[in-house]
Amino acid sequence: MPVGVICHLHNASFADVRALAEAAESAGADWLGLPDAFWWRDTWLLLAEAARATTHLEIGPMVTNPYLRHPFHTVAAVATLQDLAGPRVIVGLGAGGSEVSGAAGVSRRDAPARVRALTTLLRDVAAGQPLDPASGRTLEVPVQPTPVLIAGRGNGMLDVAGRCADRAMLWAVPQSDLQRSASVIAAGAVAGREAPGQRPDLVWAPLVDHGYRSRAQVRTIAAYSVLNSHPAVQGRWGLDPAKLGRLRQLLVGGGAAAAQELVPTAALDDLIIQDPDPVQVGEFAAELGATSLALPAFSIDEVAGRVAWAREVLGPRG
Amino acid sequence: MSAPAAPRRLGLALSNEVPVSATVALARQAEQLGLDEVWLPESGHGRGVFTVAAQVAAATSRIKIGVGIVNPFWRHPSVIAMEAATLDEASRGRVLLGVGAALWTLRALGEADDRSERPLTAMVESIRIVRSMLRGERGVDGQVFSVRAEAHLDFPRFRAAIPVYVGAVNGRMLRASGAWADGVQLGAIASPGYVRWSRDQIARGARAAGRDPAEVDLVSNVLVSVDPDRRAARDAVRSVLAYYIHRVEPVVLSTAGADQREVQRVRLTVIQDGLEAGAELVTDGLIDAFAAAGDPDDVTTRLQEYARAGLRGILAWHVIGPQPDKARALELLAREVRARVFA
Repeated sequence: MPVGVICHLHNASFADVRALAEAAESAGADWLGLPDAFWWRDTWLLLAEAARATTHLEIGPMVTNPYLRHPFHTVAAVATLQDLAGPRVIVGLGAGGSEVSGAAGVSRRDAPARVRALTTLLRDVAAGQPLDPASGRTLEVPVQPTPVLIAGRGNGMLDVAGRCADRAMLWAVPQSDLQRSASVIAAGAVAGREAPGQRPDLVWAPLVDHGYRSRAQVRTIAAYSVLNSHPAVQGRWGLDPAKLGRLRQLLVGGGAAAAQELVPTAALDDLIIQDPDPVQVGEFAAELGATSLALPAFSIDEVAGRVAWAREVLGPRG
Repeated sequence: MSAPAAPRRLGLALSNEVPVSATVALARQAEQLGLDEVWLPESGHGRGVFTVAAQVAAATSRIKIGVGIVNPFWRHPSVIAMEAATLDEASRGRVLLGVGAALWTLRALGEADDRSERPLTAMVESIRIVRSMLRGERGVDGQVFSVRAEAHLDFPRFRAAIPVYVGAVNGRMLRASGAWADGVQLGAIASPGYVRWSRDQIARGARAAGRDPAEVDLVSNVLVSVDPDRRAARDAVRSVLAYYIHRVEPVVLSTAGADQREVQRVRLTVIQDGLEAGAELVTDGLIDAFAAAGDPDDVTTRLQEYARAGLRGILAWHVIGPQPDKARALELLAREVRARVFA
């Protein structure tokens, strides 16, 4: 079963990405996702570097959004990356972080519809259809079919993932909300797919604290996850709109350390798996129906350990 | 005291319509031959220009890399800043960033919208956003494009000031470029006459804004075809010329000093009977007005006229030579033409 690595190096440079891609490939990971974080270094340029550094690792944005680039532009970016990496390209789609889309003045209200439209566009163009059926204009470079992964926490995005993704990713979803999230994906698959029983591969990307030096980064991710978690879960943690607003303000302004202080202990316990026993986590993954695991990489020297742990979790399945 | 004008130089404008490896190979050859710049366009929904430029950057070490023009309607100007800063880091400070409204392309593709109906405002605001984000300043409140104070490039910039070129055609945009831009990139089939006219427009805009016109660089694609076989070199530009004579804005044609009856005949024929029929009507006079085509002596003489008209950066564009393999023509251009143009 596939194991993925999601780059969480802060401000990853070209050299960082090269080293990370080489480390992930040699550790036996199956794919590497690079964030399309606004406004870090551009993901498509970094992906080109990862393509150059590797030979068989799948690579792709994890995740890009349908807002800040024209959808045709994203299809062209996929085609360009395929020119460099061939069939190794995967495309991760999501709504984009609320904190950054807010900074660019972009509303994400229609994110599920937009992500679905972009998924359809990618598939149609790869099947030889024009970019725009009304005018008949086409993409000027060849693009091949590519697996689409959709990640989300809100019901709308989870539903769309169930309806149309090849892979659906639950990334840093609170443990108390995992089964519900997986069931929304499953319901979306039932409602939106023609073939009975067809559903996306479920990629579980848990937030795990291995006690590495990266503990602080794990908590920062938790702070972002708190912000984007389901409102009912936020309520259970005792977070009201005022506290969430303050948290958003701090994260957008670069005050990640101060933001962590606002995260309730109950949220941290819910979001972070401490001292992970691979057998127990493996049982949980099986119960969830996860068919693959993805791990965040906060530093290059942790990659081999995290991939090995993921293989243990998956056991014979991995 | 006047600002020093940009140095005169010869570069290459590639199509970005071939596999990335082919583009990289030509850029590499251009660097080895001593050319100064290589520009990559974003003319439609083709290969991602910044990604391809990053491959050129990885394969070269000296040549400057012009991107452009890119438009702010296909990605938010803050994303342009992000892409440009990333490429500038990858190329260690060799980026020239071209931005433009790309109205012809947007209209042709049916993608013009409310924002692109205000191209001048959109352009000026895009430049402001790109520059402010590169400098680490916070927030631009525009009418077409804005970024809030929280938006900032979250990585060190190789340079805080990447030169911003505007892709401009008409007087209004050229004058605005004189006021706002570091440089201007003219487009297809620019003639020495059009270069002179553009230079004047840019200078007017610069003076009105209290700038020295010499601060504003001027580069342009020039339709070049060079070969020892003079006739073959000239024949190779006929259909390209017919296409662009049919397509470009009227001011590009009217300022060229070309026979306007011949121009109109080609335009109408392309519209009514197609490109091939139009190409047959492209006269030697039209070739001499809009291109630098012929043997190395012809091309040298023509490019000298462009330089005298005020063009600082001559970007050999499109045909380069009549043979499918452009390497030989590029070598001729670099070895037999370049030094004499700037002598």
